Amino acid sequence: MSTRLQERLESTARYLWLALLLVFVLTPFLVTLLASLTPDKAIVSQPARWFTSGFNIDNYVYILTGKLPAQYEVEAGQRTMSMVSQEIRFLPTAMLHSVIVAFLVMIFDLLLAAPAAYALVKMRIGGKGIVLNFILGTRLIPLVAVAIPYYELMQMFRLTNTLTSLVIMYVGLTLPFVILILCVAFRQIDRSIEEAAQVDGLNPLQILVRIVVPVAAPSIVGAGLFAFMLSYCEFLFGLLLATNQSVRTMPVTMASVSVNPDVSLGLTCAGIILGVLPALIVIVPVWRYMIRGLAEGSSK
Amino acid sequence: MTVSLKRSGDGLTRLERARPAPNYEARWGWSLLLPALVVIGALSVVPLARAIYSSFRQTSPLLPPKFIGFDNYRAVMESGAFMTAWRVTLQFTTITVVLTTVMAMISASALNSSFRGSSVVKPLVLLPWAVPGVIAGVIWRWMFNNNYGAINTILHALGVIDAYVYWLSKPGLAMLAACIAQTWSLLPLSIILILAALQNIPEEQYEAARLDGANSFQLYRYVTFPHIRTSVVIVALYNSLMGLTAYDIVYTMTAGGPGTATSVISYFTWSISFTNLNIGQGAALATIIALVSIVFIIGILRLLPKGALSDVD
Amino acid sequence: MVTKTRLGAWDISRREFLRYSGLVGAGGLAALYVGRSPAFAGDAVDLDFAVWTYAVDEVEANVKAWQDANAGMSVKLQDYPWDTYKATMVQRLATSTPTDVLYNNGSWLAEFVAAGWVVPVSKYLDFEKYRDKIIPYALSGLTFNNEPYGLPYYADIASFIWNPTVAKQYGVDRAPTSWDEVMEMSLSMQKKGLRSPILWEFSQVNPSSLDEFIAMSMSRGDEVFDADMNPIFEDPNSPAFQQAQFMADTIKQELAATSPAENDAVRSMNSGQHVFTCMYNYNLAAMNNKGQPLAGQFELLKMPGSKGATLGYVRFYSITSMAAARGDAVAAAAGKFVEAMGGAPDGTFNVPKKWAINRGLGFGVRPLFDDPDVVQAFSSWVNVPMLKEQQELAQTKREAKWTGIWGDTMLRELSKAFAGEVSVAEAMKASADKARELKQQYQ
Repeated sequence: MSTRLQERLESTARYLWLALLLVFVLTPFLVTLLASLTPDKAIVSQPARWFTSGFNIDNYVYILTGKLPAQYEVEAGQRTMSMVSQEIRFLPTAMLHSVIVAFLVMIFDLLLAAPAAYALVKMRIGGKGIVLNFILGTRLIPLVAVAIPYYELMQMFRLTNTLTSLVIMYVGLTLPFVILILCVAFRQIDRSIEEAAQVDGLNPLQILVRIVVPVAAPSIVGAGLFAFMLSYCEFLFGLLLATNQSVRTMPVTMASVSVNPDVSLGLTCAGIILGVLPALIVIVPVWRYMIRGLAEGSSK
Repeated sequence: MTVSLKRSGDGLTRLERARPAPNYEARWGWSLLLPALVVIGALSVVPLARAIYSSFRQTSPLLPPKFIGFDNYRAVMESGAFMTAWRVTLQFTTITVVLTTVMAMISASALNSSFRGSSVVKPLVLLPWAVPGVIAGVIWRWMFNNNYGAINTILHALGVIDAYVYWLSKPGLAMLAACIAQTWSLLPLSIILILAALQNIPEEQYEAARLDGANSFQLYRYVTFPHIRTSVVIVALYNSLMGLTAYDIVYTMTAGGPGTATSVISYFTWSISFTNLNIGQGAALATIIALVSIVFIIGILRLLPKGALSDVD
Repeated sequence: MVTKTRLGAWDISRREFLRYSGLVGAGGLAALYVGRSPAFAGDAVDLDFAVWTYAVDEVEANVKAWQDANAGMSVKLQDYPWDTYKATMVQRLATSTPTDVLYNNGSWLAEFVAAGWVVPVSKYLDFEKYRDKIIPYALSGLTFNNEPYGLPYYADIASFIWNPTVAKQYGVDRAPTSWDEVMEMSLSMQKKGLRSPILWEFSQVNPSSLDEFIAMSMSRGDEVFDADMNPIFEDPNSPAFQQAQFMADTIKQELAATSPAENDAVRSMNSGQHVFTCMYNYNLAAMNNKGQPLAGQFELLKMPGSKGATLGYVRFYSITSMAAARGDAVAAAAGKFVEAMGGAPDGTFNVPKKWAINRGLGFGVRPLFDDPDVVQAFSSWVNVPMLKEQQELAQTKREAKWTGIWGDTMLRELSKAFAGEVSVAEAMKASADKARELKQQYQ
């Protein structure tokens, strides 16, 4: 068939696929958003009466300020209870904890991974394959297996129920991935730049800091944000190590809220939307920096 | 390495000194690598060693601690749930890996050109990645809910179904629902990895192939695929790992049911350790899962072309 | 030359290292673990109080009130998500993480006593003056080997709940009085168009579903273990077997749907698609909660089944062996705290009363049934005389230190039977075998 027709068909197929993809990817967010803005009695009925009770932001207001949503106000003489759990009001604090931990993990990850990736990609050392296999292999260990020993380790250092223990563990969990990404990024850097620097007498650390990092900056930022997101979303160790209210993280809080019978569906959904918001915001820079960094390579 | 006026003791010429000696590189290389290795090693090897140690002992708060060799392993492998859970896990992993990898490849190709609105669409496709597994499970459980779930409501409103489907109450449908949720969660990362590789392919190669008269399929097979092969393998690897070891999405959605339909093996490490209070057996099961994962991963890694990751050597 | 460079490398490494440590130190100041001071007699005492996450704001208020009334005492409250509470406590207590008072559950008492983690409370507070006031099933739940291990936080029963309004729409206008009638009515409602009149709150990871199963067995005549902890449910004529068969049959004929968690079940009931269910009583309050679509329609029913009995459970405040080991001052303080929370130090059961009125939590102490405030608050969502009557017929289930582990197996077997993967007989046999095996292993 003619190339024009072929191109047209391909174009149509592409748009069709992307439309379906978007529907698949976005529908959960949209319905959760919808549920968070709708009174429960419209959502939890069959057939659902989604758009019939109007929208309100009562749920969000409740989480942030504690003002009772309108649907829970009891009129005199009514034969009903009025209970709303306060648990979800803890969400903003939990989000703060998650953000702090994720940020610290990001910093430490980059400080440790950049030199390591540089060494693995650019320097002649023996046993690279083994080292790489080791680094990646540590992620094969089911986390539940190390959970209890790790808890005991933290107990020894009196770090249980602290954000520090989370930072330490998350660095361990995310470092292999960050190293991997930086390896791919550094590999794209032309050797000639470094060789020039070597002749000028710079040692490898200086080359890394002064030349490689600026050139690979997009990938580095992207990898860091990647680590941020992974740490922000981590659940298992957050559950085991930081269950105190003073250190509880967002995923643990939301998991607990989701099984609480005194939290309405709308309130749960509002909590979900708020909770994932920081990670959603971080996605755009991750996209830009990581993809562009990895894709465009460099030889500037 | 600066040239100094000090007397150098090694007798090398300036040119020879300017070229770094292998020793120098090795020392620097290891110095740079060591901090990361130490951190990773301490955080994985130490707890793992302890866990393996526990797996050979009767470790439970209710029983006296003693060395029992392979008894824990035997008990775990002989339990009725063991083989069923592996069957379910392999089913689940295979479906999700195939689904995710294929969808990611198609999506990455579709996204690999600039079209109107592409800068908006691309970040949107990444959104599921920002959602922790547990929360994704909560969202999808609500969507598939029998009585008021979003999927039933939408399908009913569109006229596709007459009666609400009890998704999570039927074994086949529950497995399907769990696979869909897992795919949704893993898709963004897979797309990113393949897309990055796609964007690295030089345009000239396409030009040259087209000039030789290649059609779309041949272009994909001979130009595109070789370049993205590494990424595809990494994607398959990561998704397999997730399928074998992550249970939060599945269990939040289905609680392993109905019956044993979605009871994946990784959940049992939790349940044996904490509900049955048998930490030794839990550690034994975790070791078994780790070994199986290693075999799986090595198998997949053999598909990687040599030198995929390192610049030198 | 080479040496200088090498030194240079190490210098940087050292600098880096110091920088890292500094950062770790600075970063780790977010929340530091506070050391515990030993308590001296007459000195200030600090107690570690572990609870699960439920209405923590109210717990905090209660704790603060006690602290204000008792100069020098301070309580550090820590809450943990309910569904992993037991696992967390096991971890805490097994690794001797400081804990003085905790929420305890009748189901775990045997295990915790066997592991040496909790102590009888009679040494630290005057339990005898409460003995008669505690509802019998609650008393039996917190007692092990004839020693009391706490005072009730709340006690409640598994209830048979129905929605008469929806039932009427499908042609049923009287309450069922036997399980056969439940079956008949469900069939007739199904014929009239109601897809699954029954809803079972059930999943293999939900311990409440085991309690509800046992509750319904009790209503038929007996529970799952005899007095010597031998399994009695293998016999097809036993009440438990019959209940399992009943549930399996209703699921098979799609007369019943299952919902894995209680909040899902509460919402499902509120979608108007089911009429009968069996859940913990406080879920009735949740179903009748303002804001739910069908709030006010749900009612408590006496358990069908010839005996009409049901399962009662109690959650109570326990004192740990760690607290006892910390010295007399601490142990005495812990006893005082427990009495303030679960007892009536000034004559009224203040804290249980607050829970009852504010949250609809069942109480484990008789005098509150006669308290007009409580009766009025409860009447808004439940038929109080019926509740009182059902409570009199409630019993706790028999526990040993291995019944928690057995429960996990039993739920899995039931799940397979309900899914049709095995027959009820096979499931009951597998579960009974496991019970016998565990009994031998742990005794």
